[in-house]
Amino acid sequence: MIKLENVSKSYVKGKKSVDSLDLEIKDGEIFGFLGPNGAGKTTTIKMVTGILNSDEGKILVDDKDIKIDSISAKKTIGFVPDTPDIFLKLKGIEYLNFMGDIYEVPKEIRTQRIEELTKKFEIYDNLNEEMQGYSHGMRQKIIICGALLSNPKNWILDEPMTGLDPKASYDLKEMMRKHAKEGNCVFFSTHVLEVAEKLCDRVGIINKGKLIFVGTFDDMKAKLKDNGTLEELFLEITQDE
Amino acid sequence: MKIIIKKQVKYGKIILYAILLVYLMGIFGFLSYGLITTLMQIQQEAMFIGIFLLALAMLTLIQSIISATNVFYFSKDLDYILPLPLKSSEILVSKLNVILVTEYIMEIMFALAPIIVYGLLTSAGPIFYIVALLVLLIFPIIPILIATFIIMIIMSFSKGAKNKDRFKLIAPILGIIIALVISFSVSGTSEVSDDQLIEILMQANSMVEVVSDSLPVIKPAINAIVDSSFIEFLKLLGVTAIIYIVFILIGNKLYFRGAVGNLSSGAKKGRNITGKDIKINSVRKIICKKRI
Repeated sequence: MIKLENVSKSYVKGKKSVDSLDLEIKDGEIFGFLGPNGAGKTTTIKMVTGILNSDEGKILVDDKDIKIDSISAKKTIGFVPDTPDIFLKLKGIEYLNFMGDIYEVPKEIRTQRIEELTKKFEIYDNLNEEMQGYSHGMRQKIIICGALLSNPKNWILDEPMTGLDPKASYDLKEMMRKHAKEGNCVFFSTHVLEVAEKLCDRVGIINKGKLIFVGTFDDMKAKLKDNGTLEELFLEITQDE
Repeated sequence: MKIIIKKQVKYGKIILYAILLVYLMGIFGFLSYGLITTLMQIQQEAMFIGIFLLALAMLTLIQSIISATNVFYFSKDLDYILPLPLKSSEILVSKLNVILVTEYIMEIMFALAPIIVYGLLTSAGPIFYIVALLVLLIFPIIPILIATFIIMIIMSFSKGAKNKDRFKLIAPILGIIIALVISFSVSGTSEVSDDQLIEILMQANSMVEVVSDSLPVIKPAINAIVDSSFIEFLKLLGVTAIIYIVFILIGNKLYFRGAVGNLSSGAKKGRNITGKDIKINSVRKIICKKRI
């Protein structure tokens, strides 16, 4: 469970990048976070994962405050950032072992999870290569594998489909569904409305730092004019602000 | 074929680094030989260790200022390390270790040969080499901590430091200026007679006295090496350990204040553009402006 209570963040005085955000992502739910570029999606995710401190408000991950009880809260999070260009000097297997060490994944489970995840994403044969030789998509895949290695309860994914090939994208969506079905929480940002519609139990739309809609796609359709396409619905909501 | 080329490149690199290492060690060994034999004429060869450690401390300090900026603040990994369930002290210590390893490599190049030459010329026993090696392992820690602390203060409180390119450009220039000031104040001219050299070394030695008052590692390190004394080494270890613990306690708060601040500094509120803002510029000018 991820809960944001009245969370605000400013990079510059007088301009709130995230403004009084209240949001709850329940266990067993896939929650899609939508919004135009620069709306505050990544800033929100960075605050939830402890990269940034919020100026106001409280963020709870499984009832643990990310500022106060940060280590325990972070242990329950599997985070995929929006750019996968990290630890490039490491070999794929070294990176996964590093993640396994941090999240204290026992060797037997680690072996099994690494094999399962990397074979699913078809990077098993590249694990002994340095990540700087990987393509963008392969880097994205290894980062996802690293984030999911410890089977964390709360998945937080920032634009996770970017750069993935159709099969990997399909597999990831299936994994997200399965994870939520098992009673866990999936919170991800995306620009692809069709993905959000097919995958999410609920979506939140953020614009200029403010959360302007939370609900299901059916709620969204009911609220707005009939017969509109997804894009038209999205544009109507974000332009009204 | 690809694997063979890769292996050749790898071995080529190793050979190249080995040549560079031997070359640098040769230069510093030769320089040390000249200084030590000159000091031996007035039975003051022990003075060499003081001057050598002062130079090493300054070099470590300057290099660490540049490394600390990159490792602690401008490395891209911070965005990925902060969400991990790591204690702030773990991140701090592992980043310090990165700088320490760099300094050890530098010590192999610059510090090993002078110590060996000194040992040979003074007919030192094996204890000397063991103590000197231990001192070289501990000695860079405090200059690294001082450099890192300076950078942390700057990054925590200075807005100017948030321009990565500008800061990266200024830090090495600052380092070079400090190095030049030190080198000119110590030497001044390139060709000197033995008497002049002794005078310069005396000046350098008085600088050692001055610096060792504010840099608490210098004196125990000198005494440990000159007297091959384990007790003096333990003193050095003790002082270093105390400063290290204090640094970790303060650094924990200071670093994350600066680091998170640095990540937050993405946007500046700008005014709306007017017609004057749209203009044709030289590409070279803009690339240059971007760097400065």
